[in-house]
Amino acid sequence: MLKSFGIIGLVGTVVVGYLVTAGVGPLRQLPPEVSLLEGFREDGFIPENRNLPDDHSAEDVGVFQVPEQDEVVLEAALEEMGDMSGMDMSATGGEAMAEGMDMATAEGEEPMAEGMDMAAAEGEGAMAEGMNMSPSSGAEMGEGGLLITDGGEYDRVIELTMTEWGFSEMNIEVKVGERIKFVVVNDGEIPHEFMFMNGPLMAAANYRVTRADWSLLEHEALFEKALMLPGGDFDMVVEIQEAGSWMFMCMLPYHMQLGMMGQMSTPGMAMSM
Amino acid sequence: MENALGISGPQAIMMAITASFTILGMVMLLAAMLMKARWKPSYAVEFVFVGIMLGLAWYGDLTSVKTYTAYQANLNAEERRISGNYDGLGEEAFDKVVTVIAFQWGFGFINEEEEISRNALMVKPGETVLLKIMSNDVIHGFNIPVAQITAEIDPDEKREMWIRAPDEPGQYLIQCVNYCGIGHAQMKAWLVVDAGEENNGENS
Repeated sequence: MLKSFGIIGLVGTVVVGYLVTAGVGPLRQLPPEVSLLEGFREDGFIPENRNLPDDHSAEDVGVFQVPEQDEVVLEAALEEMGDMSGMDMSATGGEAMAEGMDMATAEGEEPMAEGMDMAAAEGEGAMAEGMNMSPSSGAEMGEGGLLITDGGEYDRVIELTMTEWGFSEMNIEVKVGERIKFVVVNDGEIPHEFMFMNGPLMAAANYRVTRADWSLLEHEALFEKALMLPGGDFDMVVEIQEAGSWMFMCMLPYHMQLGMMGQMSTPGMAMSM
Repeated sequence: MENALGISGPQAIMMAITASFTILGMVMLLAAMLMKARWKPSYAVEFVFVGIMLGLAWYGDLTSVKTYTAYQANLNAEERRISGNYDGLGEEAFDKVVTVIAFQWGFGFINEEEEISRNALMVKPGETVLLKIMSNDVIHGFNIPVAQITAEIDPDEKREMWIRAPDEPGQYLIQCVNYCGIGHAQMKAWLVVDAGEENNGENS
């Protein structure tokens, strides 16, 4: 009797031991096999068009707000980058910033730190403006070293396909001054979104990326295309105006953490991710 | 009756009874193990015990039926109709028709102009909105606390429900209430009650 209890206990221990170590199932979030929207589309429940235009009414009313804490985190991130003076690979953003500052001081403009404060004082949307510290010299300047337009001339085409969970190209090498046409296609089974961010902007929102109110708040980005349904696509032309590195990702909950984040960088500016 | 969890009513009573029976059972088990002289209850005690159990089950059933009936009555009461299942009145009976796509992890709201909005359902105060809710992938939940609506959205099934928007302009929570994957906790959206320009003009 006692022996049988012992054997049961031993077998139980082995089984439990297996289940909590080698027997653990896939830790990845499995994506759905197929988007059910196709069936609903056939039934006429949802519009035929896969590229539905954005409803801007929520934006107009200011439903999604950037929390004030973001700006504090952003300033801390910029300060940290300044201290590292661009020697570290993770401070590539800082390098670009330092460069921008040199140029600015050379032309007798305000130093960067002051410019940042001013931008911060302007309140909403100031963060993205603060990113663009390069002096405007007649030509049209984009935010954070990228000029993004709907069309125009381009040097080459990059097709970016989104799936669960990743992009067809996770590392894109670009040169300063290059104009690239991006064709972004959602080839996955879930709606996705596409955005460009740089290091400081990423840091500004990253602290709350797993918080339960993530979807109820806004985050600043250099470019944002919200909600592409499965099968949807869009294109744009990006002009690389400064040396640096940028991240592109899908900011829907946990999509980025599951792998939907890639990098675009000029030579030598790539961050380790 | 309110318990430590702040729950009152029949729930609290049931929890109190369950907790005391659990503790009593544990004490009896310990007593049976540790007491030298075994306690030998008569058969009558067992009948009393079974009787109490049956009584509890009856009481639990009664209160749950009462609660459910009250909920349904409230849902269908004419003066308080703020949400419900679509009963085939025709889409013209509603001020607005919105197609909702629930996906991993968020909501897309398609308005009548076929424009899509991420995580924001825009309505006017007091208007009735027909929601045609569909899931892109797995089972999702659809809960708007202010409209007292909770629905389970099964894959491959169009769920049609309606709500009456609150009269007070503001932002109200919409959330998924069925676990749908790692991002479930972030699957939230705003129900935005916006008076719009016309009403603003009247107020000023």
